[in-house]
Amino acid sequence: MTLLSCGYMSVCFGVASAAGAATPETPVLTSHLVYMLTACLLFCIGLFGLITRGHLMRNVMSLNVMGGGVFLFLVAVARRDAGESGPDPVPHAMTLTGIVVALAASAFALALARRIHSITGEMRLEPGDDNS
Amino acid sequence: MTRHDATLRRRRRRALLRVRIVVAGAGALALALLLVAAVLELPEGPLGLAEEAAAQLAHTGVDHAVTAVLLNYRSYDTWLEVGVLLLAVMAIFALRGGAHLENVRPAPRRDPLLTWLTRLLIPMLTLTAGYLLWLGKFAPGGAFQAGVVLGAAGAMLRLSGTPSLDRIGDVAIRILLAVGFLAFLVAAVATRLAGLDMLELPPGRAGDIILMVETLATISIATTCAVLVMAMPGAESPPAIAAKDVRKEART
Amino acid sequence: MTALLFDVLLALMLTVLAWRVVTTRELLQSVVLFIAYGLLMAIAWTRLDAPDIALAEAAIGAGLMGVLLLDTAGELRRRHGWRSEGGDDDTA
Repeated sequence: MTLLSCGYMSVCFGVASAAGAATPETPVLTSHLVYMLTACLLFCIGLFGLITRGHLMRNVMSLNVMGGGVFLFLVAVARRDAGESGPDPVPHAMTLTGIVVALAASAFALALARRIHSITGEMRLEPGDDNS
Repeated sequence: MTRHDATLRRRRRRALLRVRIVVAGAGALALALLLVAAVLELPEGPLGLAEEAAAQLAHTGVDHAVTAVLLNYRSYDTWLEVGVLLLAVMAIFALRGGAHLENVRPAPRRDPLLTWLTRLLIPMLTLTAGYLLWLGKFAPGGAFQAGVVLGAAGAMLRLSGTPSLDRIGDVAIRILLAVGFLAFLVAAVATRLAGLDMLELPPGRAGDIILMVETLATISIATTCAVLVMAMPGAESPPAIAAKDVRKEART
Repeated sequence: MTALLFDVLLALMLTVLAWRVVTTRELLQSVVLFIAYGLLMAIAWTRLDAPDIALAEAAIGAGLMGVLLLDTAGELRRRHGWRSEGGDDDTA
């Protein structure tokens, strides 16, 4: 695990220094940069899952992973721009309500999926997809 | 012949799936690289409204910036978000065909350990929720956190088979669900009638108004979360499922 | 430096968990990993000076979302048994 994290860190350092080559000032790997890059990865992982998996519960979870990436990015930017009065409260408020709304949306999506399942007997949209 | 066809079809589907995974993977990877590049190119410096939010905090009636954003600066947003929660519950009720929760499937057999844990945790969760709500005035906390904690308590009651919201009748449930949205509505109308902008809270009374709206919003959010867990459609229509299972058995 | 190492470790675990949530074959395992993902996210919020969100996320990610997903998974199992749950991922 430590080895992995060292690898991850060096990748982040590499990315940061690659960016530093383009910009004049020396790059610093700060924790908010780590979270911003992670947010991008989470979003894309969720997107990948959303496209490749057919199971509706997987789709709900993938969407939530994507949403987690978006929220993480918003809050990381607020953390980066924190002044002496603390981080920007507006993204915090947006994320807070966003998380609760995402829960409600997921619950509705799961309810629809269960309804689909009770009608077609399959937890996916394309019928016959699970015959393989 | 048919078996050969089926194998062929399955093989084709597998191949298509592999193509889909490769294309999606390549697309997601490309998007990730683009996003990383965009993050590294982000403009420097404060982009947000931190200073503006802090400058006006004294007039908002609360001392915590996030609560001020939620219930004063941008209370219109919060109002509509409470409305979204209400819509989600209404949609689930529409799927179930009614707001009555009496016919949710029988809760699992009561387990002594679970009962004991529920007895221990429910008062603590309720207390925590109340504390969080009150804390929102000057520290991290507020309507959403308190509502979610209380909603989790409701979900726990449901899981342990203790009667709770499913026994109070659908009119009461509807009132509890709508009360948060209505609180914002009353505040909006009252501020308009008082000659102010919509939801522009007068600095002197903002704290009281916010606490009132927040309390009612907490009740609605908590009920919403609990009802979302309780009202999942499914097992209460066993005949249809049974018929379909038979059909599925016959097909396979 | 220690804080940065912690952040990197947390970010790595979030990424790995998200990847496993998306790619694991077993549905129930995926759900449990998703709950873990929500809990780690709550830690990330506190690291980002957002205790408000951490409070809500801890209750939602670990509590309500887990209940909803596990309940749905249980419903599937109740209707089909484990067979279709393991096999549902053949397409992915």
